[in-house]
Amino acid sequence: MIKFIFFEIKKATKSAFFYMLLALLVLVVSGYFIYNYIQTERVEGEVEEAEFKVSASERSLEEMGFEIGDDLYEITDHVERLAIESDIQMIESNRTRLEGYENHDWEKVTQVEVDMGEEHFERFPTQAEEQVYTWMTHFSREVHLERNRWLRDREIRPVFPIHSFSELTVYDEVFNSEIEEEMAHNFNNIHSSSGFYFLYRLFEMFLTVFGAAFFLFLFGNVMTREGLGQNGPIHFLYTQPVQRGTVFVSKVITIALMSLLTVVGVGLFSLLLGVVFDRLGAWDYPVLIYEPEFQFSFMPMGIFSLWSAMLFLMVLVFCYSWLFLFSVLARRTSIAIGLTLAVVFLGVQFSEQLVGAYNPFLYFDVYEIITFETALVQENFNINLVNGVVSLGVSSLLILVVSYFVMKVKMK
Amino acid sequence: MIVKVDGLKKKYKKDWVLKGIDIEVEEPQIIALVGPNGSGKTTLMNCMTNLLTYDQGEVELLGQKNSDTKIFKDVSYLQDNRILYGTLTAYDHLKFICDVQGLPKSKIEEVAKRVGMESYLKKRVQNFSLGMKQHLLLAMVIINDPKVLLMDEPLTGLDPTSAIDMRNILLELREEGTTVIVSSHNLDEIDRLTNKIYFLKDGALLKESLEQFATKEYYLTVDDLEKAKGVLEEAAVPFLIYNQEQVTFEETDVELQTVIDHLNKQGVAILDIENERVGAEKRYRELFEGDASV
Repeated sequence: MIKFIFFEIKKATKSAFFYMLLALLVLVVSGYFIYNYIQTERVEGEVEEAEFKVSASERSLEEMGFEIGDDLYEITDHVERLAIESDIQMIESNRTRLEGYENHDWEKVTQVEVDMGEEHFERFPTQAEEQVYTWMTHFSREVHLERNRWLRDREIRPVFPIHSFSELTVYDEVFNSEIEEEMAHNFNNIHSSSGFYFLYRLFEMFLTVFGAAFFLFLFGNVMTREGLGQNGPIHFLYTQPVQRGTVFVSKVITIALMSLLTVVGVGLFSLLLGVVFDRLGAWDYPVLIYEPEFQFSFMPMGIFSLWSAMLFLMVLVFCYSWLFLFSVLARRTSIAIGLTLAVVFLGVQFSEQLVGAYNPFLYFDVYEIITFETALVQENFNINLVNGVVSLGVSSLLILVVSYFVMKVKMK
Repeated sequence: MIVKVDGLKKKYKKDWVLKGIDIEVEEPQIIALVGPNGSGKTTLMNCMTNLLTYDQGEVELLGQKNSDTKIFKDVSYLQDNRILYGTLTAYDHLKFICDVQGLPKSKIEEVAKRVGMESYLKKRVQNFSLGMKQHLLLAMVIINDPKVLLMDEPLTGLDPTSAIDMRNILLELREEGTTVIVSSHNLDEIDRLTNKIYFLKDGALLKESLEQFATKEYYLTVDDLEKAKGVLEEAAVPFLIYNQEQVTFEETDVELQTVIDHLNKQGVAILDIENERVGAEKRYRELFEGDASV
């Protein structure tokens, strides 16, 4: 078996088309990194903003004839006193931030956000009932607070911006205006050129049906190159002293193994880009995981990436099983890939309501499965990683068995 | 028994393409399968190696059923060059066989030298000529020193030198104890390889004339052709007049000395005696005369 696997790897890697697609992959990843690098909100930007806020508040105090250290209670005008209080708080919080930025004291920086979050909940205790689906929802504020507590407790350097507006969850459905909605989405579209965060964004973007399509092109000829039923190379393999099932199984293992290596390679390349051009980032950066009844938790980004890669591999095996079936039936690479893509796209598009959580086509958007976003939207928390692996695995196995027997019949 | 094919029948849709083939080989030898395109040669070989399923009959190679893939440690099958991977090198192909069959890597250099393909061992198959591909196919099937070797059109695309080399290798293999079953359209080469020729016609094997093709055909030049005709007709000797000049007959029909005696007795002078082996080509023409594909 192992000899067959090595031979399969050799066959796959000696094709110019394979290397062209890999080069394309490297280009796309690099291009996306450059985009993230450009979009990354740097500490310098945060410092500038904090300094601007401090000076603006100082100017405001000056205009009101107030100096820090003066007795606030001497101000009789209630509105003016609130304005002064706000300015003082702005100055203090931003000075604390600036100190944190200067000393890379991320605990201090995130503590500011925690303090502000806690103060908000103290000030608006009824918000949970009022803002259920209107941005910024109570849920999103809670998430923001907990995220900053998580960052603070682990002394993780945050990815900017970290102000409360940067939090947007699936509960934020209603916006007061289009401008507000656009602003919320812009703030939430956080980029970072640090290794782990970039990888997270990359997986979010590409571990989808489109990523699967790329892999179908990469390994599209794994079966058809054997010239099934046309005195092709399969006859060479079949006249070697090994069980014929070995040929088939070794192809499945090889393609899965090479996909794993490609995904791992992309992961390592992303981390390397981060390390070389910025930093590795925190493996335990928090990723929001939805739970039933307005509950949530966080998952470390490293773990999230691992689960994502695992589920995506199962998605790929599922796609490959269709590819094998169509390769056996059609015997031409282009037709096999075309039919597989058609089945996948149609399945993802139109089979949402079929067989509930055991519908393998539900699991193509890996990011939304691991975060339970799909589960929340479809109100079915059985749509999860484990059921995804099981349904994708079982259906792949069934299709592969059918493919094998169809191949046996066609080879007669 | 080295090869035993017993009542092999194969049907494509409604047509029987093999109609009960029987072959038994007990001693190492070279057997040729000859027949026009579509007569079932490749189908027979594919069935013998279980690449194709068949409807009736049994095949045993070296005493084992052909469904047991372990036989391919000692049985090799040279097939169409479409079995080769264009992007791989000759070395890759041979190394894979060594890996799968547990052969030492030294066999690669050894077989490359024997076949004469050392210079392009590390080149990709997609850049090979037809002849180079045939060399590789040959190397692939002899690298494991098989006891039984099936070869489907091994001479295709070979230049005369390579064809001679191929023939010599096959004769060496026979000497080494390998049983070779070879199909070919090159009847001259077949003649040089073996006397054991099986003709395949419409899916049936015609074996009636295996040894008799080893016989000679004589051409006698006489001083009086008309008189000679009369003498031989009177003596009931089967003969033909060749080219309006010579009396010709086959060794199997009548002995040379008998003909000479008849003619001498009647005063017909024999000026010259030539002989020629009755080859596969002649028999082929007899069997397949009128077939469109011949």
